[in-house]
Amino acid sequence: MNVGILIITHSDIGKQMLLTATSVYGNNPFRVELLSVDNFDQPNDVIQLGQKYVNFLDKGKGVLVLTDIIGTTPSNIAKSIKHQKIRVVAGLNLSMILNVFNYPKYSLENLAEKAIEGGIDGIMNL
Amino acid sequence: MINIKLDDSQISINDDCRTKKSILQRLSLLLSKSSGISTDEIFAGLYEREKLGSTSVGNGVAIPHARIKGINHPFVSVIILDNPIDFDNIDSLDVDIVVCLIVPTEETENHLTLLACLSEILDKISNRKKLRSARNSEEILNCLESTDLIFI
Repeated sequence: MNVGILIITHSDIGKQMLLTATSVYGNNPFRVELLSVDNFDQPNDVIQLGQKYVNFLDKGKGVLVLTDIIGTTPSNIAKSIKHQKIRVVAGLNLSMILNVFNYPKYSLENLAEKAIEGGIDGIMNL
Repeated sequence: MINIKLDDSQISINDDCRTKKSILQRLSLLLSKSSGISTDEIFAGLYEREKLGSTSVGNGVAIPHARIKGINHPFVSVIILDNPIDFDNIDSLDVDIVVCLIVPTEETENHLTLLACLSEILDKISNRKKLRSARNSEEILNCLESTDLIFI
């Protein structure tokens, strides 16, 4: 079984990015769930939800949490989730998701590296 | 404990659906009859969720799910297929056990609890065997019994 993925973002940008990445890639080889955070959400409630999502997604290989901008509520929530096998990567972009999709069989550690690599590689002067 | 609606009319055994889309349509039809929500609306919710990624959870099992406006409690529908089908599964095993969940839009927490609960039940090989060999709705209901759920 593959690593599970949880995407935690402001409003539904995570959903739109995932839809676009899935459409560009052709399919999504992971179990993915989305958690959107809005201004009126209580962070503690969302942390509990995140915790439940992570427990649900982990089929033994752990969960990679992708979140948008560092230092804001979604990333703070992501960091607050307690789990044995979890990695949190901030700075979500399409290039990050697409690079992750390329490596469905990777371990959690290696997949987190691929997420960071893909995210950074997607930023350049054109 | 969560109240959840599941009865004979929401179960289809020896089903002959051949595609993921036809499964989602069949589920929408089964759930529409008991929930009173239109098949189109349920199908749209389930289809929208599948577009984000398959709800296959491995071992031949899928748990399509959606949040639906206008229902008072969660509904479950079960399809057991004669022949496993490609469900964009996350492993090499095609899907022959489909347990579908629709939950009121505002019940986020229940939604997750139910997903976790169903996933836990279906993770057990003994339960999957029982579901695959079930001959009637009662045997399906017995398999899905859990201390977290009350079937209404």
